[in-house]
Amino acid sequence: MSREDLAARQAALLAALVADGPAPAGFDPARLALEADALRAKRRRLLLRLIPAEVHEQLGADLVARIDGWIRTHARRTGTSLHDEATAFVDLLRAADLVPPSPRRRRRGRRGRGWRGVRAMRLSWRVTPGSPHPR
Amino acid sequence: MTPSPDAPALPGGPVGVGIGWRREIDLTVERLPGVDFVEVVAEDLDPDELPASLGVLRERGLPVLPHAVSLSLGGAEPLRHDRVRHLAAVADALGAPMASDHVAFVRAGGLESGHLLPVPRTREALAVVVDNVRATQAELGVPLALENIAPLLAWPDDAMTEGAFLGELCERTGAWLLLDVANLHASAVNLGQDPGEVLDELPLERVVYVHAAGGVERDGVYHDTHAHPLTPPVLDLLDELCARRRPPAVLLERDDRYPPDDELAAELAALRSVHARVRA
Repeated sequence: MSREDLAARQAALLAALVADGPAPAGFDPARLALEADALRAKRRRLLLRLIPAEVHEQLGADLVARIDGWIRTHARRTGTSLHDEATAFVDLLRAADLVPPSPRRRRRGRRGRGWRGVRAMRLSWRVTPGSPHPR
Repeated sequence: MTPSPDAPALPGGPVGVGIGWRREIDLTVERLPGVDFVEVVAEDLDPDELPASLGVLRERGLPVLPHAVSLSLGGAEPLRHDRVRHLAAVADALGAPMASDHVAFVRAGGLESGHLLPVPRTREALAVVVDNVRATQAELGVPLALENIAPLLAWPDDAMTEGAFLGELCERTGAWLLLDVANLHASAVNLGQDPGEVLDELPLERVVYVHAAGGVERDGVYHDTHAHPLTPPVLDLLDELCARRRPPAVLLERDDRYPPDDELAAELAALRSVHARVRA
């Protein structure tokens, strides 16, 4: 097996776990499902923390179902932070008029271009408000 | 004088009992009794704007050790040197004697897992991890320690034991071990691995400190939540490790559902009690 082969196998496993890819041969399907659930649960938890309070208030119990639906159809791409994801998700809710526009909120994207550089990049990596570990 | 087997193998490495510093509990960590060192998640910090709380702790002389989660050292794709440089900058800003990440991969094929995934334990994968670790060491500026993860699944072609894989990785790279006893417990429950056999094979003299954390077992699967209290099997594994060779230090990781301060203090005391126990 070459580095390239290993890269392909890791990509296939990850796609199966987060992007509805086919189950790679040899893995226990029950364990793949378990791992996929764990990854989704972690992402849901972190997104819930990053989503503004007014969105929690507006959608109530419906928020979790909407996040779950979104997670299932939006694998996180390399180069996208969780903050970017939370922003994209809330923008979608606003576009669908599920959440009223927030005039106070400054969109990261608008401010982003003039604010690039190492510091912005570092902040965009910030995995969580809490920690990266599984819960 | 005979050198104590308990002396820290890594010069300036942590000694005693520590806790993972998190923004949500920064004041708690400052107030907790019996904290000898702390660990921070490197990706959550900007080396140019470190939180004031870490300054308070450093003024007291506490080591603050950066712990990374996104180097993907087990990934077959090219190493992200920008992330290594960030870890190096955080370690430098903290005056840390070492830094760490996991034996895992977190990205592949343009996707991010958001969490640590296992590497197949094969010779070929080992060679990839060795390359990534060496490249990281070349840029890091401080010694690197590698942590075992809490797996939920195994690769079908695993050909080496976890102990042999990590042992050879350390031997070939000179890396240190950050041994997580809760993750060892997770491997035991989830993959049927005998933790005693893993300890038999690991180079315990390379353990620079130990992670311990709470978790929960559901339907025969152990979830390393860092959001529940420490469990007896994890403390027992720490005890078993200490009986073989006491590591210089042990650190409590808590990342969610933070309990009252006295409960965290009690968990630190429980770790200290096992770690400091005099053994025949």
